Amino acid sequence: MLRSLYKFFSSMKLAIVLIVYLIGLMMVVGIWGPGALSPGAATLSSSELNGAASGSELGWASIIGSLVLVMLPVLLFALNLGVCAVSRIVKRIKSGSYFRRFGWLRTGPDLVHISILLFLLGGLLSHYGRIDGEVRLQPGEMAALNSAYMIRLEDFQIEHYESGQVKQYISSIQLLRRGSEVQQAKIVDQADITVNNPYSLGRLKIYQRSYYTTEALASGLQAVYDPGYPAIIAGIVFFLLGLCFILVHKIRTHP
Amino acid sequence: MLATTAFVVTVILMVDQIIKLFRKSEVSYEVEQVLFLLGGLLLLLDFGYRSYLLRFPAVTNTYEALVIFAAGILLLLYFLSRKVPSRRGAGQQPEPHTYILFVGTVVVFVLLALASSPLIPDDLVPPVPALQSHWLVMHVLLSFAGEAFFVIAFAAALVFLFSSQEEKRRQADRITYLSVTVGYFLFTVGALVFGMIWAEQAWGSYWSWDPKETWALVTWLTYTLYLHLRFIRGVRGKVTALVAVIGFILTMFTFFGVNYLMSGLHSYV
Repeated sequence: MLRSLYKFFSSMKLAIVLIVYLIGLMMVVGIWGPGALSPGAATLSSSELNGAASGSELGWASIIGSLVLVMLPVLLFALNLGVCAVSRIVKRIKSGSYFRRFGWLRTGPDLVHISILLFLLGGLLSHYGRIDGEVRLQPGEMAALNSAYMIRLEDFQIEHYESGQVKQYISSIQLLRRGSEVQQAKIVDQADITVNNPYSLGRLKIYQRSYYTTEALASGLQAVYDPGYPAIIAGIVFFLLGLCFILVHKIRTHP
Repeated sequence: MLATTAFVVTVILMVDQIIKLFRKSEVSYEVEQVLFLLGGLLLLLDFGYRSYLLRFPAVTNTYEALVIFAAGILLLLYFLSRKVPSRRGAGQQPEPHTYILFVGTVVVFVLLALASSPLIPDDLVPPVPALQSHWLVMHVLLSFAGEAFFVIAFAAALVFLFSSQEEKRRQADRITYLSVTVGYFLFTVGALVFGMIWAEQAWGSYWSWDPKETWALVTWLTYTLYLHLRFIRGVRGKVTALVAVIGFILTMFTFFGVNYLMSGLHSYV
C-alpha cells in the first residue's frame, strides 16, 4: 500500500498531469483574475485571488470549489515534487552517483524541485502571516513601527527630469528607539527611502509607496512584515543554484 | 535610423532566403551570415545609442523591448547560419537549418515591422521611478535572451512537424531541445527570479498576480511541461514539438496580448 502510494506520488506521469492542470488553472487566473481585462484591478490582494475571503462574502460553494480546484491540486503537486526529490536523492545516494567526479551537479533538479516547495511554503506563510500598512506622513510627522521603534519623516522631495516627468520620490527618514516618553526617543538611524530602495529594520521593510498633495505634500510609506520572505529568498537561492547545476551538467554530458 | 536600417536588412534577408529556398541551382549562404550579424549589431547599436541618450539602459518601453528581442534573435540566427554548409549543390534539398533561419527571419520581420509602425511609439522617455532598478535591466535583458531561444525552438519545432524525412526531424528535434534548454534557463532566471526580486524592491511583494506575471508563469509551466515530456517514452517527437509551438504562442501573448488586452503593473512594456 505504502509502496504503491510512494510510486504514485513519485511518478513522472502524475507530474505531467499536474503541470497541464496548473497551466489550465493559471490561464483561468490570467483571463479572469485580478487586473485581467479590467484596468486598474491589479492591486487586488492575493487573498482575494485565492478565494480565502470570508464564507459569507463568497459562499460555501466557492470555498469548496477553491479547495477542490486549487488547494487539492497544489497539495498533490507539492507531494509529487517532494516525493520525487526524495526518491531521486535516495536513489542517487544508494548508487553513489552524487559522489563521483562532478556528481554533485546531479543535485540540480532536486534543488529546483525543493525551491518550488520553498516558494509554495513562502506563499502560504505570506498569505496567512503578512502584515502591511501604509502611513501618510508630512515632513516632521512620526509614526510607530512597533513597540520599540518609530520613524519620523524628516523631508520628502519629488525629483523631476527636465521634461517635468517625475524622476524619483525621496523620503528622508529618521529611525527612533522609543523611550518611556516621546521626548526620550533616540535617533538610531537615518536613511533615504526611494522607489526600488526600501529600508530594512530586521524583518520589517519600509517602501516608498505613493505621495499625496491634497492638503500639503505627504509621503505614503508602506511598512511590511512578511514571514514568507525567508522561505522565498531560500527558494530563490536553491532555484538559481539548481538551474546552474542542470545547465552545467547538460553542457558536460552533451557537448 | 539604426533600427530602420536593420529592418531593411531583415527585408533583404527574407526576400533573399525565399528565392534561395526555391532555387534548384547551386546557392551560397555566405551573404546571409554577414547580414544576420549586421542586422543584430545595428539593433545593438540602437540600444546603446538610446541608452546613452537616456543615461539608463534602454529597456523600459515596448519599442526598446522589440529592438532587444529582435537583436537577440538575429544574433542567434547568425550563430545558427554558421552551422549551415555555406553552399548547397544544384538539385539538393535545403538543410533543416535553412528553414529555421527563414522562420526566425520572418519573426524578426514582424517584430521590427511593429517597432516601425505608429502603434509602437519610439519616443525617448526616461524611466519612471519604479523602473529605475538594475534588477529590472537584468530582468528584461535575460527574459528576451531566453525568448530569442524560444523563437529558434519554435522554428525548429515547425520544421519537425512539417518534415517527413527522419534525419531532418532528428536534427530539428535536437535544435528544439537545445534551444528550449538554454532559453528556459535564461527565461527562468530573467523573467521569474529577477522579476520577483525587482517586484519586491519596487512594490513590496514578490508576486502580485499581475496578468503579465500570471501569463509568464503559464509560459514557464508550458516549457517545464516540454522538458518533462521528453522523459516519457513515446511522447517525444510530435507532442513535444507541438508544446514548443504552443510555448512560443504563449510567449508572444505574454509580450503583446497582455499589454493590449489587459492592464497591470507591466503596462509600460
